[in-house]
Amino acid sequence: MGTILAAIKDEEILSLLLQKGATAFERGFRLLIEKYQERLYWHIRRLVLDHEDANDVVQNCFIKAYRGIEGFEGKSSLYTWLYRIATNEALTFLNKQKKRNAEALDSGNGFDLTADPYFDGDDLQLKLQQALQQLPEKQRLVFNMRYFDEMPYGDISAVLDTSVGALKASYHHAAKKIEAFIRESGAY
Amino acid sequence: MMEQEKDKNIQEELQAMGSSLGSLKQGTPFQVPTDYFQSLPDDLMRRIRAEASLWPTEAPQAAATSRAFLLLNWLQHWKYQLGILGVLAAATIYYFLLPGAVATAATDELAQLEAAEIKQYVSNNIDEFSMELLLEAAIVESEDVHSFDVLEGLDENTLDQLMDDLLEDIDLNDLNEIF
Repeated sequence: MGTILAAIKDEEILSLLLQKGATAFERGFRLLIEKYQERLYWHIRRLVLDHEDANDVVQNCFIKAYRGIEGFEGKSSLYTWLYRIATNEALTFLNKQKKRNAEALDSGNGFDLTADPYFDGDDLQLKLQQALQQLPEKQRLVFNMRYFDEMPYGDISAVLDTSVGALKASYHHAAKKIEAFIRESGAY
Repeated sequence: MMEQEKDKNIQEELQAMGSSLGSLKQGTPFQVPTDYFQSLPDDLMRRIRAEASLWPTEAPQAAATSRAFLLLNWLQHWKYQLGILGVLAAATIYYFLLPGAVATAATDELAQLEAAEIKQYVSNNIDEFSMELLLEAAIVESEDVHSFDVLEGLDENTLDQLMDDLLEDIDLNDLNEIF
């Protein structure tokens, strides 16, 4: 299923979306969801951590894509465009969450993965996630996109609108900080 | 291409940085509920149909081209169906069960209009009024109405005949002048 969907070209999806008639549009949008849902979900999940939150954010991301598809000019690839929406949605969610926590005088530093029924990592993976939560937003984004999503720097640059050189520097700093955090925690 | 080849090997890149994180890399520790990705497209399409019904003017061009599709989606939304039923029920009660209320409200509003305003309105929209109605209004308003007494001896058929003769003879321009 995944292989078949991956073989569907963005041009075919866009062609359906731009056809007149609801049936073609629905078919096109469903294909778009099926092709990109997993990649976008995991990108968002690694940022917001909780499944329920990730589910809300990924749905909002596709709704935004639906509303904005008319304005998609094809200057970037469909995937880059969707990734940018997903990133913005996730960051907006995190900022709101941070504000809510601040208003509630919650001194907690984010989501508790140990209490998450949908987290099945070992101690080292837990430390890695905790280290990621300590990073500045931009470094965390870059690290996730490079390390987990294995995105080329050129694609990350298009999504985050940052030069490749700056991205490589961010990635390098992030990797060093994570390594130091894990070493200090004694998990290595 | 060279850049892409380099990009493919994340572990080598980390090793080149002097980082040992490459050795950590393995499968995701996160999980999703069973069949989550099988049901997500259906959930999303339901939401999108609801979006299309709530903001039809914001719907993309391709979707907006089919108003029937949007209307169908809108009607499929149970909240709106209930809303429509509610409005229809209220309208039915208002117009059929409480006709006096409608009539009274309209009569009260008309009663507040000045005669000059009414004449002006009729004059401006004379084509919208039937000849019978205009004639009746002219007769009622005319000072000659007082002479109706002379018609008392005539039976209904004769009066109808006289009215028909008047309608045939009267000119639309004359009525315009009256008003």
